[in-house]
Amino acid sequence: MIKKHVKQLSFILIILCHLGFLAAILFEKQNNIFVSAFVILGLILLIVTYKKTPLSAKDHSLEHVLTIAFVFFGAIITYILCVSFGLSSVLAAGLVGLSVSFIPDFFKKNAFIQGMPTAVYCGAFVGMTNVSVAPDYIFITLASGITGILLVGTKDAFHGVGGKLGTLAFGGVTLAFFITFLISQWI
Amino acid sequence: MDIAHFILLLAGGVSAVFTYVLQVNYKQGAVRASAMVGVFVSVFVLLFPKLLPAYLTENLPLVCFGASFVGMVSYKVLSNYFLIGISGVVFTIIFLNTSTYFNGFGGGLGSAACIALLVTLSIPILKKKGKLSNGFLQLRKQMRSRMKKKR
Repeated sequence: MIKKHVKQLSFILIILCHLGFLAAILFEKQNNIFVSAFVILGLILLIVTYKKTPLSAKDHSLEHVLTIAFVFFGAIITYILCVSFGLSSVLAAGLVGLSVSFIPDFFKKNAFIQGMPTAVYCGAFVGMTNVSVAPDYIFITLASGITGILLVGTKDAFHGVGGKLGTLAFGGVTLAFFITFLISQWI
Repeated sequence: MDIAHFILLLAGGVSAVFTYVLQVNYKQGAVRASAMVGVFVSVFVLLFPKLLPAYLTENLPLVCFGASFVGMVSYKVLSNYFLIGISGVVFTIIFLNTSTYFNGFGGGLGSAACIALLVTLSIPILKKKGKLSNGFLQLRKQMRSRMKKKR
């Protein structure tokens, strides 16, 4: 029962990320009729796909809790490569993903390690955040923590759909940004 | 539309298909395939910074890397090269119009890629009568048959 709720909640969170992303484009480009029409068409088609996606599945499983540590690892390494070594964000995330993707070849029998590259790659997207948004390691830690929790909860939602990891990273970074913004206002 | 935008649209489509081919046909796994495309393009731009105009040098790695997320799609969900290419192009259109509110937010590329892919998935392409390439429809059929069995 709880797992079903987790699945529905994670599904709704992913939908909210997408809708927020498109709504920002629509709000900003409302004077451009072509972009507005394209976004509205995209929204309609998105809703069609959401409706096709099954939500009634009860066999929703959760990712291992240690996945959060892998997300944190990927985010920190990418952020260090970007900020301290001056690499471009694409190159940093690509290098992290490429090097981590070879690790499961050494531990072929360990099912837990097999899922490691996905988690680290998800963290790498968090680490791609610009310095203007993520000024310090505390922000990256918070964002990767939230992304890790989202990843644990969304194991079966949108499974195999490209861009799911990026959406989760986006959700994590946006939530972390919102939380730090609220704290800074409060203080 | 100028030539730079056209090149970016083309690069988006090609990167998505290229990642998918690396992932499925050459069995490299989704993460390695996408990372290889990202590293290749960013190293190319790093080695030849003056070869392309400044706008392309700045945006080409981002477009190719973002479109490679589209190519990370499982063959069970989408297996049509043409549709994956179209997803890559749709991704590039979304990327070029991304809101400035989310400038520098990590995961923005992935979100745009996911939206592009889901938009394309909603267009059910009938190859043959009754045989849908849309993975979600197949998944739903399987779920329904399982539910019936349980009953």
